[in-house]
Amino acid sequence: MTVNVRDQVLAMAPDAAAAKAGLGQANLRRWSGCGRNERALWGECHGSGQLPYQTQAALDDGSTKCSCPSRKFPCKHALGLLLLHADGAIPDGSPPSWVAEWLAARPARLARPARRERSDGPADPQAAERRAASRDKKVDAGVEEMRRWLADLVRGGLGAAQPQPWAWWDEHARRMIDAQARGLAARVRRMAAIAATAGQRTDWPERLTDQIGSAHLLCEAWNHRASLPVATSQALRVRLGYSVAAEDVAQSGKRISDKWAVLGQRFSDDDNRRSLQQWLYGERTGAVVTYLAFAAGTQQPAPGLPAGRRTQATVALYPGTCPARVLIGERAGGSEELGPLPGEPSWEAALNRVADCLSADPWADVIPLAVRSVTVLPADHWLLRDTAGRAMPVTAAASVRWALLALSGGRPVDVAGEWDGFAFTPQAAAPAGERGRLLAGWQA
Amino acid sequence: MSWTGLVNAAVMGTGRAARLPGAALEAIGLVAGDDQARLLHRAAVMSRARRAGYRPPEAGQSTAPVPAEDDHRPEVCPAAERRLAGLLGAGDHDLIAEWLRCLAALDRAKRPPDALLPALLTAAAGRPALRANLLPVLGPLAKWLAGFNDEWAWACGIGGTGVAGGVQDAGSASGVWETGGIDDRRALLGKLRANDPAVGRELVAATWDVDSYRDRAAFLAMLAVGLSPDDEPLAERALADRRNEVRRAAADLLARLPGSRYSQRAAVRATAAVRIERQGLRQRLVITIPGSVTPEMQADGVDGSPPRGTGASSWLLRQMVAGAPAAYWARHSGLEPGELLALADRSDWTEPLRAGWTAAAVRDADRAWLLALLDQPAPAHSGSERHVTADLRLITALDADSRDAWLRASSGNPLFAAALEVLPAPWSVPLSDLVRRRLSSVARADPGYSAAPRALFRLAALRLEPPAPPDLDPAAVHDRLSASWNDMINTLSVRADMRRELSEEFDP
Repeated sequence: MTVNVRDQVLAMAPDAAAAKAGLGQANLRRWSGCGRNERALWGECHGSGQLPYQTQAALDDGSTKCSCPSRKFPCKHALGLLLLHADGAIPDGSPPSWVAEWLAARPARLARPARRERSDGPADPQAAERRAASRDKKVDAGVEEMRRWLADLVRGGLGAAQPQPWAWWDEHARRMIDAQARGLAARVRRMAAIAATAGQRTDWPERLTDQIGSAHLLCEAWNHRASLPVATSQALRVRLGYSVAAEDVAQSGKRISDKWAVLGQRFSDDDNRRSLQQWLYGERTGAVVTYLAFAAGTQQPAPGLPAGRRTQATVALYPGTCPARVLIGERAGGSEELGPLPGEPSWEAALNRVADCLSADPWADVIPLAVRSVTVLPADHWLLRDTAGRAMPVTAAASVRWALLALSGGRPVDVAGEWDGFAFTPQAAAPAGERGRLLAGWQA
Repeated sequence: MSWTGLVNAAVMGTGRAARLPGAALEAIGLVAGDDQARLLHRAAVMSRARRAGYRPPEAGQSTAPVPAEDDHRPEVCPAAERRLAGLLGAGDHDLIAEWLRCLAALDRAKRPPDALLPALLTAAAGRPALRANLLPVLGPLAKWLAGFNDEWAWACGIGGTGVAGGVQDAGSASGVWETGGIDDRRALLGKLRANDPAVGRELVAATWDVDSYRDRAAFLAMLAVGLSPDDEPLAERALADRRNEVRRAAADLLARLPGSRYSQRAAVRATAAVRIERQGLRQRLVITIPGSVTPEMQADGVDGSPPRGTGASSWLLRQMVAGAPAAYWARHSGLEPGELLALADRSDWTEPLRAGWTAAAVRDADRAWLLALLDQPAPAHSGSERHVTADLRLITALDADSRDAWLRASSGNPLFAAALEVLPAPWSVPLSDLVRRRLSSVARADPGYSAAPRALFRLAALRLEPPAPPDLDPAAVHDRLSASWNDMINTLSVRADMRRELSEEFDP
């Protein structure tokens, strides 16, 4: 990540107001104890509070951290610090303890082999095995409980479960978190969300049945994990909530170098954990992968590639899931405007990808699809009709739907977005032959 | 068992359903055990199979909308689009208005980004000021979109570039008038009065008897645009309305109509009330106020019940003075507004005379009167809020050039800062230079507890023209003002960038 050019720093701002505020902070008079080394920048910014805010930024991927309460990311202090750096105004120094702690806690990054030496030292293979076994045991118990809960659910009927309050679902979700099966917890919460919006969706019984099917398949697969193909068992572990160390991905993950177009991104806030998810479309290879970052509490997930733009970069694939999650490595050059969107000629052709995905990772809930020349049919239920005459139902915020309709002007458009098994959410669109644009993601 | 059958069984619950025929599944070794497990197994397999084999249904041809007309203006460049997207995301409506204004001012017309048009229409739907900035840059796409969303109906048929006409045909106009909501009716009437006043008047007359008094009063006020003697009969009829509000609106409208019978009657009343007595070189005003409201005055909308704190005679005098056209006084007395004001200030009736003249001057936008009232404040001019408001009304009523000239000549006036606020963007170049000099001196001083410097910074940030910063070393800015000063400098630089981006040519 190059963070030494003003424009690129400003491009990181979540919105124009933040960029403006960031410029206001790029004034050494507001700062004390500024410094930098080869990995990070830091400084204390004097705001309206009694204590200065401690702001720091990593130079490898541009991720930042600040003690201010802002919910914008990066906050204006972080932007200000990066701008000062871009101006060459920050002197070399050695990091104070709060910076050193942060740096030590950050996962190793791709293309930084120097970090490997450190993680070699204290690793005790036996201890690691014991830890893994004890976790598996916990997950065993969680899966068993999930099976009982699902059996109760279908015995009583989904019709009886649907009116249950959020807390009823959430109680079970929390038990799954305690069992270190975050993936199962997320699935229960997804069911709760479907049940809660039953008034707006007539297809909630189908969606809930789909979810219990998927959840049940997770439980069954866990019990037969020894006999699963490698790819599926990797997918299973990820879907249950096992994480793969970024170091391992950086070292041994399959790499793809391409010019990546970010055709969709979403921030979400779930149970004190913020996440950022992006869809990356490779221009040369046609690969479609996803970037996913999490942060706890008031921290912010590390930014991926610039949304709605194309960037040349090398990514490393996490094992298991489809579409693959990636770690973003070295970038080459700045980012550029999107070109025309990729896409299949029909929904049918695009949906062929789904069967391929599901055969390796049957738990893939949301799958990116791109189709050319669809016509927007705005009605009570919006549809996107392809040239073969098939019409995909649309589910999206009103602002996204209107942006798509406006971009089309009633003429066919190319779209990219995600399919949740029932409806399609457009995220980027382009009138025939024109450059693509994000339909959302620019909102604050 | 079909997917639908499975979903039905799951919704009902195995506890209530008859035993499921699981023999087939058992035959392929999928299941052993109870109904729940069987149903879950089936859900697992069938839900995956449904996803893998999903194909969207066939759609009919009939529901596709007719495409929008082509807009021949090129779209703005990507940098300008990103800028606008950021402003919309941040909800910065001041800068969105500025962005739109700069777009409209381009030599070579460009259209706003198609994808952001709905967000612009939504932002402007509830903000009349933003709407006024948006309307001039809208093209056929906005009109087309408005056909799908009633909240954008105001964007219909109003062409910036390339949209033919602008006024709907008579049939659809009367349809909107008879069935539309108040906002649509106002929008329609406003448009008609600007283009075809007679049609507008006929619409107002057509529903006069069924409209509420609020609507009647509002529509009368709107007839001020495109006003002509042809409107007199309708306004005269409204003078006899049973509601005071409507009578007042009618009187106000008629007073704007030069040579109307109402103006003549009002002038007669003013002549009777205010007489100039000459004794040698000395002149004085002789004021004669009727003891009560005569039926003839009542018929002309004169209000007999004064507001609290105002005497009955004073209230009548004020209305009698206000009723006459502002230009009448010079003709009648041979005196300039300034001379009349000096006489008034020596009389016992300063307050009602000035109030009446102020109302007439503002209504008629009479430059001589407006400037006289501004430059010759009342002797007991206390700077009270009421006076400031009245003076700001005078400034607002001035035409743009006179207003600008007055401000430049009055930078020491206590009203200066408040007047800047009512002066819409962009300020003239000479006025901006003057404000920049003032900014530089204000910024050096300790603001104490005053919010005024910061308010001035905020205003200047949005309205200085061109958006160049004042020539002042940032180190010279007082510490307590430096944050707001920097905000201003940033906003100015954003505005400068904005213009550069908008004028950039983009070749995709």
